[in-house]
Amino acid sequence: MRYNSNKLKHQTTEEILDLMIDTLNKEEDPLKKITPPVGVEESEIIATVRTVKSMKEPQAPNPDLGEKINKLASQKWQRQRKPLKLGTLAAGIIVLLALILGKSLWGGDVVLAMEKAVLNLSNYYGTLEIRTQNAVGEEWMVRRLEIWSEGEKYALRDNNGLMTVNNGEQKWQLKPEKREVTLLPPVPDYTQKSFDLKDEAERAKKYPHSIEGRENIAGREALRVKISPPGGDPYHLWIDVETNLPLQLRTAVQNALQTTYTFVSLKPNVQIQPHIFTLKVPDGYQVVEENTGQLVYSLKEASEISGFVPVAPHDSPYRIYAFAGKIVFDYGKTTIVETPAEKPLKIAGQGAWGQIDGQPVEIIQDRLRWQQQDLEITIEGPLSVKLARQLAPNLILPDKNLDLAKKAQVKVEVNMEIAQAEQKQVDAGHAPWQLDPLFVSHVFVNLQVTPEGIVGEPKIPYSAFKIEANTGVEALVSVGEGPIRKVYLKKLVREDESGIWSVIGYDSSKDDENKPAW
Amino acid sequence: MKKLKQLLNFKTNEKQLSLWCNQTWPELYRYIYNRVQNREEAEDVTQETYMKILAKYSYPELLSIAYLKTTALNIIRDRWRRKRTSGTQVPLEEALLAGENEISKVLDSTYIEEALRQLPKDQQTVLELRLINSYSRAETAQKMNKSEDAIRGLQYRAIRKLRELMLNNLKEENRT
Repeated sequence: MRYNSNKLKHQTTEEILDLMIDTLNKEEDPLKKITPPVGVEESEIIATVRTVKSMKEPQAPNPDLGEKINKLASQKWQRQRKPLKLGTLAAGIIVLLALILGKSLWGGDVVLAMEKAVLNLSNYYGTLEIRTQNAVGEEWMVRRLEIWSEGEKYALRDNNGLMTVNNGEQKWQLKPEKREVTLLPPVPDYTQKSFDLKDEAERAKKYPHSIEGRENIAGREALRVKISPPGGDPYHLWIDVETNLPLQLRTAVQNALQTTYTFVSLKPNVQIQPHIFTLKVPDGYQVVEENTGQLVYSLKEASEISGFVPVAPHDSPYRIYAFAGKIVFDYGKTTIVETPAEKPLKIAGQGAWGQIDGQPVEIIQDRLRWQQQDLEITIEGPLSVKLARQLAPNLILPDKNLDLAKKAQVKVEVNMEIAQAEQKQVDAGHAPWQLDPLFVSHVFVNLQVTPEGIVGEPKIPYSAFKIEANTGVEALVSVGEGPIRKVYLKKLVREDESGIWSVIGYDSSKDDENKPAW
Repeated sequence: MKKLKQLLNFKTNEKQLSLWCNQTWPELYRYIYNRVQNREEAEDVTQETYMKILAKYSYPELLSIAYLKTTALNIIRDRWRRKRTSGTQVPLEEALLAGENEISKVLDSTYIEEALRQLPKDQQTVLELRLINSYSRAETAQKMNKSEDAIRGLQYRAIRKLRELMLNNLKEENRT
């Protein structure tokens, strides 16, 4: 039985309660039967009914529930875990030997144990100290943060009393100095990434690492693990021997400064008082609202507030926020932001290129951005590709194995020592243009034209350069004028978004002139 | 070393994943049922929890049942919130969805019995017949020798009174 929405609107709370009880007695989901949303009073009444009913024993599930869950697990297995091949088996044996013979050399078990410990965290409370040291050994505290974290909710309080909270529904900052509460847009939220233990565990697993020793950190025994990103300076992570959780992180020296993040206290799986995540404006405080958007329950509402019609994926978001000129679909760690497309899409230099129906898609890590139906759509997070395919089924991701270098008429030899030194410079924040294949091509071609160096305006203007392909690892740039027609580039030191581009070959324009015009 | 072998083993064994599911789902289902109080919703949320976890993690077998329970609570919270006209928190729902580490009396049977005892006798009886014994309105009317309309009004007054008592108790809990 489905309640008729019109009928329900005219029903009294008394009648709604009666229907709710009947539905629960039939072991059916009461909210599934209702089309219009319910108010707070009805929600409280249903919660009260559920509370009383908790006195009876739970009803057994349908006999096929276990089978359905096993089917889900089996689908995952078939999708993600291919059967062992000989090569995999050999690799497995090597890993096993490495673990037996060189446990301390590789530290693989420690990082796996850390990943497991982090996954098992349902919540935590801790105090994080951030300290910086300069080249002459002087050290000072930058910030001290108290952190409460539970699922997607978190609260941070710094040493000045500034408190930032995101409870999954709202984000706000409590500023005691100004006696002010600032309401902030809850999504997309980048604050959490600055201290997320899960991110740290994932990074440690991704790069080569080795155990260097045992040390006492904030009164706890910890293993010091060296993590070496390819082509970058190594940094260190300390893992608590007892809890397997990360205790301290020390960055590499960059610009003569080194930063250390230390959990001076960390209490996993504790009881966090609900008031921590509840917005309560203290007496005498002023509420300042930044463009926080409005939580809406339908695309129609979102469309009315934003002033445009959004495109929505098949999967329902957890929440939809509507702003003037913007709609955000919140899927937890993944968000979709839609705005009207006001000017043509300009792809960032470090972004790889995908395609949707011949139109470019910018891809930077797990963020996709493109234009469709007069909208600019940005999806960021682990589900970005899945959700993008629901909006644009013809999405084509770049093929990383194009091997463009083979096609270059003139091969350019790259000195890897110099490339690695340049990568370190870029890691430290210098010469960021090396992350942009257009800019690298611009410098390379102009140095061919004026080998003595570029003085004043370069001979070939930047506007003459155009990206033809960018897989994220290899790129092809065409040049509209001058002696070079095409430039081939590759990330030789590191293949992720932080890797610099090097020119590995080019096609000369002269060759074109000599070619017969057929 | 045994632990390491186990870690390597489960990478290669589909049965481990199935075993983990079979070991965890009955407890998770009961945990969810205790909060939602109906089979249909409990089954839906149980499956959604596994779908979410299986899609998110490469090695879900490493996850504890506590993590599954927290994920399930968040799923229920979102489902209930989506069906509400406003996004504000409802304290009685939050009390039902308190995590394992949080102390909430709402799901303690002694506490509920105590609250029920504070209701007039006929209100206690109607809730017992309709909610605990799952009798229909007609059957309850017959047993209490009242009309069906009278039963509907009585159960409404009883639930409203109980809601008030529980909200007051929650406020006191928060104050202490």
